Amino acid sequence: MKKAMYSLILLLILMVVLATLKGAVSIDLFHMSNTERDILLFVRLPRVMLSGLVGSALALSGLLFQYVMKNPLADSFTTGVSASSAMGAVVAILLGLGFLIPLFALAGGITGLVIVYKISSVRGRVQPITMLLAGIVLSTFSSATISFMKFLSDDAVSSIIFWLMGGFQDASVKKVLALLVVVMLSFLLVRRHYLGLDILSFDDTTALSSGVEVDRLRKEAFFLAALLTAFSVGYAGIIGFVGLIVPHVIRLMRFVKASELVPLSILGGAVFMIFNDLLSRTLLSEGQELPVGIITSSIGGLFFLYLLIKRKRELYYFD
Amino acid sequence: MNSRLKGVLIFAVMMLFFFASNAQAYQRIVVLYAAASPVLKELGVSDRVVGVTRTDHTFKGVRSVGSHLRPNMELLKALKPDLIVAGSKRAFPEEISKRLRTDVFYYDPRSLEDILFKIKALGKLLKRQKRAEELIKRLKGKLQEVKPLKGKPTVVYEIMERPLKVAGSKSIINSIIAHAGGENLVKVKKKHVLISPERVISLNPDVYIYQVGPMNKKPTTPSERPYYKSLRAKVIKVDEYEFARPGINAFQAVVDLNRIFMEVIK
Amino acid sequence: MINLKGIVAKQGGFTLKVDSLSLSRGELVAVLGNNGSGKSTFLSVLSGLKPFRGKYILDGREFGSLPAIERHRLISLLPQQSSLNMPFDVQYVVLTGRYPYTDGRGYSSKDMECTEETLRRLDIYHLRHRLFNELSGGERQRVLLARVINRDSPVMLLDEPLSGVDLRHQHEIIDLLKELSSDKTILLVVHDISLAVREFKRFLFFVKGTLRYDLYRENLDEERLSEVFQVRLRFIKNDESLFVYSEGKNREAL
Repeated sequence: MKKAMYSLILLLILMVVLATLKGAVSIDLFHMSNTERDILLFVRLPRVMLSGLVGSALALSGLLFQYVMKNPLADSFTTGVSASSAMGAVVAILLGLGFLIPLFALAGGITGLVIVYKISSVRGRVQPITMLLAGIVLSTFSSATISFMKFLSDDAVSSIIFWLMGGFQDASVKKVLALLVVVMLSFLLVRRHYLGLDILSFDDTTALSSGVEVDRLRKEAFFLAALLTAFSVGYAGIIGFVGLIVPHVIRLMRFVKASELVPLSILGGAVFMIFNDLLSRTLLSEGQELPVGIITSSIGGLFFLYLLIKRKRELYYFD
Repeated sequence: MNSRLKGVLIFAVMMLFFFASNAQAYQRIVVLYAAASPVLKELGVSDRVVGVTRTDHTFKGVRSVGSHLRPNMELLKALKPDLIVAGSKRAFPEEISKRLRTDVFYYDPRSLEDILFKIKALGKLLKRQKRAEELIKRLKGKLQEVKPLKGKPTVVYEIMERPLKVAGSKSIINSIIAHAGGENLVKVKKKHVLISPERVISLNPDVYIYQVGPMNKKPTTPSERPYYKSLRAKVIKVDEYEFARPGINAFQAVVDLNRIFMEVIK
Repeated sequence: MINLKGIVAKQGGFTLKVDSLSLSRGELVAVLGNNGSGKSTFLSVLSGLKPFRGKYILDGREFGSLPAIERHRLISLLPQQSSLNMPFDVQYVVLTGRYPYTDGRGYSSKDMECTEETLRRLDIYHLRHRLFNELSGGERQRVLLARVINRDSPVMLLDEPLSGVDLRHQHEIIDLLKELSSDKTILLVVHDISLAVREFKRFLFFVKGTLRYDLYRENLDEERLSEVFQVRLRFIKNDESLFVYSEGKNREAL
């Protein structure tokens, strides 16, 4: 654990340095012009930070959803929070309120969360399977609504499509700070429940009789996960697969306790996302960009294919 | 009814079709690309236009057939058009026009010269050569108003803020900038280019133009965006309808832009 | 340790009733009855997992007034069935039994020590690095029992702790429970009547949701047992030991 932790921290530092140095414009660190210094400080650094934080937020939210749903394939997609946040963002685009996108995304995400929560709780108890189904329904419904809004507005289509694929062009120090606070607070809250989260992997009776307040813990984890997702979508659009892949890889490395999974996922998510964003802004020439969601989803898709073919056992271990 | 009469009738109908489709110019036109509508109006064929897209208000009392990307096929068919003016093959594939048994004219100019060429072609197609010539002459005259500049101002033109997209070399805007005496610094061979903000800064343009319109609703003023803190260009706001549509307006846009350049150069 | 008066718990169409019961420290009590007679519900109520009406005094205090964490330090429960969907190893599974003593973040070195001792006591020390889900049914049962014992709570409620466990380990477990019960109150649900009457001293019999009999071994008789289980049961007394066997279904006993 310690070793993995330190190597991930080292990797993260390396990735931040690499991603800050590389970009559409090449910068010589030791002979910087004023413009280059400005680019480094106001464009690139906030972007690297934001992508890292969004990666952490998504990985942590995916992990929390997996605990709440008791399903290793749960993430912000399957729970519908991602799609409902995106729906909020698209409404903002359609209304021409671009600067309010994060707020709308948050509102959409929280609405989605409340709906899924209400549907899936029976007499105050959350049913993981119902929650998964409710999430899929919400996801489908939100996607349909987004398609409808796309249809209504041909001119804003490319703006909407971009939102559905994500990107970090719009990074700013303010966003970085806001997300930093959200991620840190979530981490501190989650940290208080490491042992409880582990015990959630038992059946409910065992967990309850161990002294874990199962419903309260699920509620709290679900809310935090949804909050993290909504912030990520609000700042960077929908970016798929991160919440699924990162915790999965870490579990495959035999880290299965929450006290290991949570910090390693946060670090791993940051490394993964910074790397993806670096690709998105350097793969094409002349400063052209690719939406980062395309890259994460293709890397994620290939990785899952590999898991399905080579490591079925690990994938299905969770009965 | 005897067979001779039947034969005469069939012949008559066939003749009618023949004249309708060839001898006479197109009578029922549907315009699926709004930028082409002012051209048709100038050619004096407004009364022949029977269908337009939802956002096109050039003609009064003409049926809308939906959006330019997804026109309603039933409405389109019901209008029985004999000519469809469409944007590009991608937006309106030839197979559809074949299925509708209509001719299709693609109006997709990439430059001012292209616009004039298309006007000429439309004039010929609609048998309005004379008016087309007049229009071309007038538009060319408009370009005479462009005043020579002392230098060549460099430009980046923002199509959209979120995500940040700028005009590439295949955009009509590229041509407008060139005719106005400036240079579009973005050379990527695309209409719209998704670009890194830092690239825009390092291109260091003299003028940063951002459009406001359906594609860029209420954008944040560039100077207020965190990533443009170090952008030193003169920032200018323009109307999307005036600049980004490859129609008659483009010529006026050249003149307006030229005037802006004059001030910047000063 | 435990005092119950007029306990009623309803769940759907099923009602559990316990008029009066008192259990003290140092007792090892077998809970018996047919399927659906209310044994598991009874344990759930005692551990606070099911709502009930009536008076329940635990360790001299009103059960409802005890903070949740306090209850779980006083009572541990082995549910009839358990599942785990994370690849935890045996040692960690047993360690999680110590949860009520933690701050929620990590286990103390004392928790670790207790766990190691419990692993040895239950003869599963050699399994400690194996994955829980890769064990056999009987081994799992012993691990889960170890998890409960690891709590070291004054009251232990065990729902069929012997099911699936081989004979040798059954006896080891029973011996261990006897040893533990010297300063604890242990209730265990058992299905094997002959084993129960041989090994335990006090018995609670449930019939259709009601605590029908609360008997010590010397008060057991064929009639009452036959009534409870709805089969004709015969006793064979042999010196100090008692054997019970079934003669099959008996309508008159109904």
